[in-house]
Amino acid sequence: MVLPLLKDWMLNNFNVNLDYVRPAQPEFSAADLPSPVINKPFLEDLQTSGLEHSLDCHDRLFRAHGHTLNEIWALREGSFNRIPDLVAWPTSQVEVMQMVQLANKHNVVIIPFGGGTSVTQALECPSTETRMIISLDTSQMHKILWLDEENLTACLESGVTGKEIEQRLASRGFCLGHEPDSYEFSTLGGWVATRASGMKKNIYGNIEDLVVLVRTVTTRGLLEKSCNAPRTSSGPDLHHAILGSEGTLGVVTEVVVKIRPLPECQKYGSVVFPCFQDGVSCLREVARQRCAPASIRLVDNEQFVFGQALKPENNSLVQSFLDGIKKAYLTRWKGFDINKMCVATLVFEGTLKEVEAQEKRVYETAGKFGGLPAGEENGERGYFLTYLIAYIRDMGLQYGIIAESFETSIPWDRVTDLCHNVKDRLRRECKAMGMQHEPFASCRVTQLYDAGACVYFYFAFCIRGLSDPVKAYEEIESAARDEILACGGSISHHHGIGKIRKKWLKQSISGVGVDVLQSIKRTLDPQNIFGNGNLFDAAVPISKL
Amino acid sequence: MSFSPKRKGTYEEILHHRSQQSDVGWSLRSYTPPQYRYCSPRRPIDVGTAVLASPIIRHTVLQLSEEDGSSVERLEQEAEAIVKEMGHDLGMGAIRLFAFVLSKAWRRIYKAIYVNSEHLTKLQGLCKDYPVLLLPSHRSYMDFLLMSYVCFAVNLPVPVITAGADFMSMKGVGSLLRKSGAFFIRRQFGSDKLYWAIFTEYVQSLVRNGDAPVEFFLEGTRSRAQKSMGPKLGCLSAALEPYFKGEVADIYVVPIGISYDRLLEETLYAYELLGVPKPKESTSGLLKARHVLSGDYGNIHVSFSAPISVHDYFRAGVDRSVHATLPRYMSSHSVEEVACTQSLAVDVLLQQQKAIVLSPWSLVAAILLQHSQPGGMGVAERSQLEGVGVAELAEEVHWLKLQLENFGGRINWPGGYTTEAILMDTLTVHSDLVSVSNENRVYLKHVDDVKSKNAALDPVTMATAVRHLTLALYRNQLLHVFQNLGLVALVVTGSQENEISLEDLYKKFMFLRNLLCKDFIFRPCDVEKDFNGVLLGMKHTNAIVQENNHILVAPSVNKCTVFMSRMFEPFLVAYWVLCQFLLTHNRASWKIRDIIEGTQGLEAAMLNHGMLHHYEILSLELLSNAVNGLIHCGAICREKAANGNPSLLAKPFELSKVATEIASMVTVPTCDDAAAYVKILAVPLSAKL
Repeated sequence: MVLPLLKDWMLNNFNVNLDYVRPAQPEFSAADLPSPVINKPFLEDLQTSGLEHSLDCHDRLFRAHGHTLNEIWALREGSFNRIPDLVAWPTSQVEVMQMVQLANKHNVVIIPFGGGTSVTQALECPSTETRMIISLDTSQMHKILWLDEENLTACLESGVTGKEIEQRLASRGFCLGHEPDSYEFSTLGGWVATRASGMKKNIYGNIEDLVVLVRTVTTRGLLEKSCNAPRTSSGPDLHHAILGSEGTLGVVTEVVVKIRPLPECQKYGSVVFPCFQDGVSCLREVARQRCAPASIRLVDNEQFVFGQALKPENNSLVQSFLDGIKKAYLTRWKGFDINKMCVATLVFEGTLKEVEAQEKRVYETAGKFGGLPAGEENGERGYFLTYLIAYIRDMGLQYGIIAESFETSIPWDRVTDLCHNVKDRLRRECKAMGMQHEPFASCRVTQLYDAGACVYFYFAFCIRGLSDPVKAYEEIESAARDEILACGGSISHHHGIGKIRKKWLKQSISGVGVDVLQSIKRTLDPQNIFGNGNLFDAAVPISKL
Repeated sequence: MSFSPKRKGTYEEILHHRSQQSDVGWSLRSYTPPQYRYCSPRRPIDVGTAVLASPIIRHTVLQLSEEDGSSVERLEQEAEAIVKEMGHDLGMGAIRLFAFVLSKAWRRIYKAIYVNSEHLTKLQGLCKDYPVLLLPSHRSYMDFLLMSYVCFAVNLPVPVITAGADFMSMKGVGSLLRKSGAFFIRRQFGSDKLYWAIFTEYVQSLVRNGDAPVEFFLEGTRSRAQKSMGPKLGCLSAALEPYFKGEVADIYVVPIGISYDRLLEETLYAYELLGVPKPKESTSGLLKARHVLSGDYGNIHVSFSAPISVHDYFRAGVDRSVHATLPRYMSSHSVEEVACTQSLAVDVLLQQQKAIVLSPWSLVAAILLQHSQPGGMGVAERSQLEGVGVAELAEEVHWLKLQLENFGGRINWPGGYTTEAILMDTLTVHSDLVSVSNENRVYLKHVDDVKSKNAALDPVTMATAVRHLTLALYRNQLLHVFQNLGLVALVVTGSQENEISLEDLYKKFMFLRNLLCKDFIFRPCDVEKDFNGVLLGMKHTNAIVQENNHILVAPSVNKCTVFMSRMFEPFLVAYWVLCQFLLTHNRASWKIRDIIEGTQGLEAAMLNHGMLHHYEILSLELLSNAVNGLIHCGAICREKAANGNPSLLAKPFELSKVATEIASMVTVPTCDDAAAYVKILAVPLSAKL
């Protein structure tokens, strides 16, 4: 695919010199990687058990990281202090139980690994860990165990990816409807472990709304409920101890989820607004009326302009001409300022009639806030951009541009201020670091709730002249997170805590809250076998020291 | 010869030197100031509408209606009336009219208006990114027109300004001021919840939307005594709340020091300080003031300090996320936010002082006022009778100028002229107060007798006091430069020992800072830093001689320390008389007004009998500061009387301790003498009180 306008956009926004490239280093050889810590008795037991595993250095490296910026950077230009010492591929819940028992017996660490799409350094091995570390890769557990058409539920193994789920369910006329941006690679188990959120949650719900039953293998045995009932009152919901536990309590092995019949019709759409505030007011109204379509997202002006730069090559003069007319119509007749306008992208799902009705209602509401429908194509490109962005990030690194995203959730009345303040903070921090060029700071409102919204920030800057770009990035993101919390936003909407946001956990859930989590951890995993170090530092019992 | 060139260092002249020569052309020129990037443009009247529709006003109305049963409609009408009374009506028409008229008027009386340009470019940029608060010093009615005029001249957005509601009633003027951006706040609205809510929301609405920079005076009112007064925090905390609540990314605060070579209100201020009632602001009063529109008022300097980022200032001390769990309309400031706001306010005042460009006349005033002779006749008296030689005065002025510069003061001192030339220039500007004879001697002019309400003050005493106070106003303008130096000098020159340990010096220094905390602006947390800083400065200028950890008294009593201690002496004398007054009148409780007027009477008697000779101690503002300073030191207690009114309780033990401490530093009449005069006064005083 060719993106003819992207070059100009990069030149304008970062003042990059395309002759300046930072090629990735050659692949690590075995000698470049830390040598494995081997727990001999464990290894012997493992070999006797016949469970599939590998000590190969590239197998280990592949599972040493997610997609957090500093991890990608380490691959391209840096090195790793600590990587898993062994990779294991259990094929069933029974094999997972065997693995966990062995690990518990020999005091070996297990880090569960799904699709490897974490963006919180959740997969990073704690550099201080002296015990042997096993990466438990769930990819061989990808079966649909059963499907119940009457109750619209299905039991899936945790290692199955989003894409596989939808393909296989579709062949039987169903769908799950959970589509996080990473859904090509991310797995069901990972979604549960991070409290994932999907693009179309307005129809299908977030992961916590989708699960009916979760089975988790802990060092104390299997944690599960006794029936597939839709809701129970039996004390605090233990599913919620597992949802968002980020691999610190056990391995999610099987999940019963709700499924839906495939929708008859899916349609994209888009609306342009004169300014961001108008767009936010419209989304707020849509949420108030609870008439949100499957997905509705509002991107700010910066991202709107960036989206224009990603238009594929188009030789048709007619098409360019039409584009020209549209622009003139918007700017001259409707008084839109090309430097202020922003766009909302929409996905409608349902029967033909439902979709029609939804469209009418949404466009009517948008009209009250100065919004004008801007066609299906613009909407589709908006969603396509979401998937593209990870690839563009890797390309940016080539030219010395660091890009990353982070997200939050926040009450409605603070959404606009949050967006303004965080972008301002990003620009200011970059300036304070002596960067010559303003960074690309952009945001979009991606999810609507009754009481607030999820906001996603994209942020990129040129690293030329910085001695430690990753450290610079981390400081800037940390300042931005402080700003988010100051504005009344949350520590995370769906990415989770991992390691990069540990320092704000206590502020977010109170000291008592951390103690509660600590005691769950102590009960389920007294030896800290699931020692990936996410969320908080597990208090190790004194007797073990 | 021109004392007022187009450019002086970073200062540019904006009144006489313009690219467009005609005033019409200039006031109608294209004016495109920077605008806040998230501002949604609205008319002034829309601000009021937005305020009335805001959640905080709706909730306050409902809450008040629930509390006292008054109907929502009535409260809403009341709110509407308040907003109407408050609202500004800023429009370019009025601004251009003012620009034209003021250019004409000011060019006749001012030689120059200087504005420093060093921060202007940055400020223009900041106006685009953040809401801005303009915080000028406030020492003249003119400040507020001047600020708008300057903003127009240098292409900054014209501000909206909080003004006292007393201006509002001036016929015609009120609406003209509104059109130039003023909005009106009642001086006192204590516990009126609705008024308070509307006022804060009005300010915050302006800050949030960044319609225009918001200008207000931290000191709350004009500083008639011409030295900074303690900050009033109401407006500032209201204006900062949008930052604390995360409604704006940052707010920039700009301290501005404004100085006038000659004040339009100089005699008026002297009268007001003595308690001669202030004429109510009225249009006819303003018209009478027209005669001032001729004559020479010298230069004006408007100095913008570096803009302060509230975010950077509060970064370490304030956690804004504490507001995350309450609805935004609920007003609340955390303890840290209150403390940081107070600290910021003090810093802004200090920055204003630092920015102020002093007039050479301040030096002259300081010199004429003091050097009291043992016989009790100061230069002020001498200069009325026999005059002071210009050469002698010039020498003194030059010396004081050096001291001023050594201790960080800024003075308008055009290069290339002799001190004598500069002196003559400033004497011409102040020819209402001084005259120069053919023999080159400087004489103070006579002041007509003045009648006072306070029966204890006779017209001749008052006339002398007016003359002294008029000079003191200008002397006061430079005191902040020497405030720490003066306190050290008081301790050193008052010492009876051969040497003072640094520890004792520090203790006494602390005592004076606490006592004088209402008369001067100190940062309490900087006491040690200020102490060390001023000692270093004094050592470097040979004002004190230190050996090991001791100050040697004999060589440290020199021209500098004597001059400085005498400059601050009147303050301590006034405090001392106030202590004596309270110590000799045995009363269960006091009203502050009775203490002040009683002390003023006692001072007058002592002045008449030649026991004291600082007529400026009759200043009511000084006495009011003294009461509050003594409250701060714990020598007077605040309490609630039986009827619920606040009253004051004198604490004799602490008062006599303070009095003794003061007496150890400055010359005061003996206590017996004082007691005798109290007795003389006792009958009329108690009859009056």
